[in-house]
Amino acid sequence: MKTRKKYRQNLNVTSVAIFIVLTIYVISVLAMYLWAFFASIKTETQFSQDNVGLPPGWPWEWAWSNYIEALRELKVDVSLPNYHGYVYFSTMFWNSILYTIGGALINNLTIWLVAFLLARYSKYKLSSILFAANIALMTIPVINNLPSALSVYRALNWYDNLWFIVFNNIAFTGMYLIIYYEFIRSLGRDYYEAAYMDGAGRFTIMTKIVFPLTSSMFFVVFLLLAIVRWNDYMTMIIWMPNRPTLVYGVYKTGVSRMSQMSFPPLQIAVCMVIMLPMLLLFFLFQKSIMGNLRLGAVKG
Amino acid sequence: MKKIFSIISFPFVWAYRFVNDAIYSLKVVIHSKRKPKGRLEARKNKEKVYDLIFYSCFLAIPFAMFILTNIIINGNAIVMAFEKMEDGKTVFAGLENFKQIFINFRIDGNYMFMLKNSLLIYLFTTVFNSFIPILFSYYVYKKLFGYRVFKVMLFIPTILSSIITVSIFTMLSNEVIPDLWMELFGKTLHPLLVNPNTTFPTILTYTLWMGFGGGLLTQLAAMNTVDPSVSESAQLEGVGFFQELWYIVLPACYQILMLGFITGAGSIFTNSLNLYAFFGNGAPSTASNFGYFFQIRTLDGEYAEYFYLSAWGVFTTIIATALTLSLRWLFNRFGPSEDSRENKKKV
Repeated sequence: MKTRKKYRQNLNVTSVAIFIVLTIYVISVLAMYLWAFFASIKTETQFSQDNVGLPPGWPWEWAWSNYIEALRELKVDVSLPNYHGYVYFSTMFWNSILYTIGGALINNLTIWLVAFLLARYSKYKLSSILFAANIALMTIPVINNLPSALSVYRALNWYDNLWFIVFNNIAFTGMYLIIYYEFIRSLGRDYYEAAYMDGAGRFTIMTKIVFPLTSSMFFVVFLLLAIVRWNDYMTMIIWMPNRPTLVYGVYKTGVSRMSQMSFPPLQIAVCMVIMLPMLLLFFLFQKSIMGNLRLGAVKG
Repeated sequence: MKKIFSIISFPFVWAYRFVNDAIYSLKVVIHSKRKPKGRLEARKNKEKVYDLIFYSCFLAIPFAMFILTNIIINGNAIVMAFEKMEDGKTVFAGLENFKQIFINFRIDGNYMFMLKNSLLIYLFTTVFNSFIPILFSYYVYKKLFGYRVFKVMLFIPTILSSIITVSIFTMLSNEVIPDLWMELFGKTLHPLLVNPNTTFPTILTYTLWMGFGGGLLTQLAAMNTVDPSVSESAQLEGVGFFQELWYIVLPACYQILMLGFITGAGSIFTNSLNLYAFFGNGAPSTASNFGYFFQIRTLDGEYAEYFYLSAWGVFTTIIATALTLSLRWLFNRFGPSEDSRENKKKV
């Protein structure tokens, strides 16, 4: 009843127009993904005859084998110190997992740790300097320092190296530092003093008192960072061209037009496979990902 | 004999006593100036030292990486801007790289074309991702009919890789749309991404279409910072749909809304419009922009070219920084604020 009253109160020409526009937008996005799904289960002949409609026949007659063939044919030519040749789906999948989970975890831990140190030990001047530097770096655009970065990373032997995943993700600048910082700063000194009186050391306070309070926030930020890394192909192109991830493989199939993957249903089938983990993650943790980052569970 | 011995030893005894007394007096003076060290103070000093050790140990590596990625790399970029390669060696070049930028701008029409495309991209993405979605995000903020479905569907493109949507969109625009056009109108339509005349508008349309949801969600997050009690009391006062948006929601989240517009100034030189995903290093010149130009010249160019590109980076950073700070000043000066409302009341 309350909802219907709210809808009636806000019913006017503009809200109806907005509803129509949003509906058209949502339908257009949905139509694109549905088209891609149905195109991925057509044979080459079926696609060339009709690239718009549904595949002919019953669902069990559709070309589901496209998915298996696409994963089998997905390959990227690499040139490593101890290996020259093709890298297939399993290796690309492992690289994706390493980069996604490892990179997101290292990055998230670094941001959390630095936010804790800056908030807890704000008495040191370095804390305020680093926080101000973070705000400045978020505001001031730095353009095209890629040539310099490539020179430095090559000199350090981090280019095209798995160590890149570790060192590149030990970075803390960005919006998430501010989110963690504000929350940890809002925790009263009572927590620390009570913990000291009970005999807790600094490390114990950090890991057993503060970290559990931010655990839900930590999880959400980890998900968001993992999504970014799973979808990131540009980092692989620039920094690790010989250690491809799955999205890098999709990029190569599109751009290089490898003969085995040249017909669209196979290419789209690969796209569908890579989309699946993110869609699954999204529907499982929808509330966490889309909701506001909750500020922990502080009672009393 | 005793008397004679005492007379002879008198000066030595006197000297010994004198030195002894002096040393004793000095000890008394030093001891009196020293503060008494209590147990509590000693413990406090120890805690300060342990705090510093803890702070330093855990901050060391992140701080070192911060220095590397922000100070050393950016500093190296500035140094490289004033160098060049000569006979395989790096030599000081002064302002030669910067002069070359202006010369190339004058003689090569492609640079003006890239600037035009970059400015068009900034204008369209700002208008479509910052201003137009305000009404739509307000609809979702008000939790009107169907808002849950809209929220989910708007979020989905942001969690999927751009390379996937680019691949699907490429096939749609090169194969499906021309075939549909032929079926519906009986006329031939060249593949949209292959025809140089339609490449840039097609990719721009794709960017606006896929970016619309992300812009909307950012504004929705900003609107959610408005205190619900303020909205409720406004509704009790009889405030309407637009009045609430104009007088309550927009002023409250104005700073966050304008942030996208202000920080987007840098994107004039960094937004490549996903051209690398669409074409690799073979995009048509009609669609070229500065973001793409920097990408392909760095990835496919020789090391010798890095110095010229670094000069470009320094030059465009200065311009983008000036633009960002100017926009920030403009919006702070002429935008709504608590102070301006109070002054108007007094008047």
